[in-house]
Amino acid sequence: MAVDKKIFLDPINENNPITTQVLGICSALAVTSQLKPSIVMGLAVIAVVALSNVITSFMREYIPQKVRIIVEMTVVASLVILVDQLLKAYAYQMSKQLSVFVGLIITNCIVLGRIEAFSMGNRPLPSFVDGLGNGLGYAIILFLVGFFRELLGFGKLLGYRVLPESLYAAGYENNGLMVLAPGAFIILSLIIWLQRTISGYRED
Amino acid sequence: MRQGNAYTLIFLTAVALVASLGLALAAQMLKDRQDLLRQADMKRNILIAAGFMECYADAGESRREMDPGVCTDVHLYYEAHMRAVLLDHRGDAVDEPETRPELVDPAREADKPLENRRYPVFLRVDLIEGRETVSAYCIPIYGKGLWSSLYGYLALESDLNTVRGLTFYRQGETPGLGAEIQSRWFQEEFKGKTILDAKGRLVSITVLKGKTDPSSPQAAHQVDGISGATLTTRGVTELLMKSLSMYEPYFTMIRRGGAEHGRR
Repeated sequence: MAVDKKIFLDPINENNPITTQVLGICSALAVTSQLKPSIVMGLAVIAVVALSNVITSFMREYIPQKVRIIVEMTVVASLVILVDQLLKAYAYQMSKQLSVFVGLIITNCIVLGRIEAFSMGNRPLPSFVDGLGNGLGYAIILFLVGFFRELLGFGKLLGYRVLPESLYAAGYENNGLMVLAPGAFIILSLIIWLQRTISGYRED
Repeated sequence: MRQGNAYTLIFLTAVALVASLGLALAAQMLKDRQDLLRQADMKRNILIAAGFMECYADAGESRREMDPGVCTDVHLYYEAHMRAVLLDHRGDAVDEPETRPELVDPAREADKPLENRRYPVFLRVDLIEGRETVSAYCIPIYGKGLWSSLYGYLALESDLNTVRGLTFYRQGETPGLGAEIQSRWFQEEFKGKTILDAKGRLVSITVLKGKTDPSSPQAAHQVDGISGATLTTRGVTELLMKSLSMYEPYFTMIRRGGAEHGRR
């Protein structure tokens, strides 16, 4: 069965969970002061959204309607703990840097939102693609915000200095605001502005 | 319809069972590797604070991931150069072979009654003229930051006054702000600072809000703060004072010439 391409592409641009639906802002602000944690966080969310979508989609016929949120949360929480444990075993330093924010993926509205809105009413394969698309839509925004915040706030990318010393000698200074949460707000709203100008999206 | 209460209960029990079994299995499988990384990270931090492993002194290097091979190297190097001592609250060495000093959790110790608390000290032992000489004393430091508990090590020179090094190995502060206490430049600032005033009283080291004034008489006990992380660095100031006071009985004893370090 062919999966509609729109399921994958829509959440990356036109129906992006962060810029259009404005979900998952908390972690988008919290972990993006540098690029590397943003990438790891993005990958973690992709994994959790995609897998929880598939699992709940398989179970959707059997979940009692009355307790469906509890079941969904159990699935999501188990996956998040699994991701956290894997990070601790294979990327210990990164897991220390991300600290609580990996655990907080559980509360990320995107995850529960996609389960409720999509996977509970669709077959596993489209649900998986929907999860990948939404996770990627979230991750791309995180990459962009992390890229600009680390570049402008530290003059570095992935920990390597990219702005030449001569620039600093000429009087350039790192922008301290970019390191703080307001820096993320500013970058994020600029991205939203740019995207809505191109797509012509209007709030109802 | 599958809406009966019995069905719901059985379904929920099954989901809970599968989820907990899966997680328990994963935790069990990953435990060895996690422990190896965690302990190597701890030992590496003790070594860095004690002035070893200068290759890690560059910015960012101390955050580099270690593979199991490197972990084993760190472990062997640690065994060769460090000796651990366990103290009680009066500063006397205690002999408890079943307690691994590296694994003593300062947070858990703080909850115990005073006389049951154990304080580990890690001694850097160098061979000087063929004799094993203690050249640095490394103690765990622990306290509250803004959001989280901060864990680290502080190493003092053999005069028990000058700071040899400081590291933080666990914290959950704001990335880019409070979390900067883990960065090299901040930890580097502490080197060479002194914890005792002219009369030999413990004054510890204060992290200022802003920059230190080099002309001030207090400058030897102060370091520059981190902008945007005033509350975290205030926590650092407090935890340094608290941790150093706990070891003061032991340090005073050695400063007075108590030659026996209770070394194992």
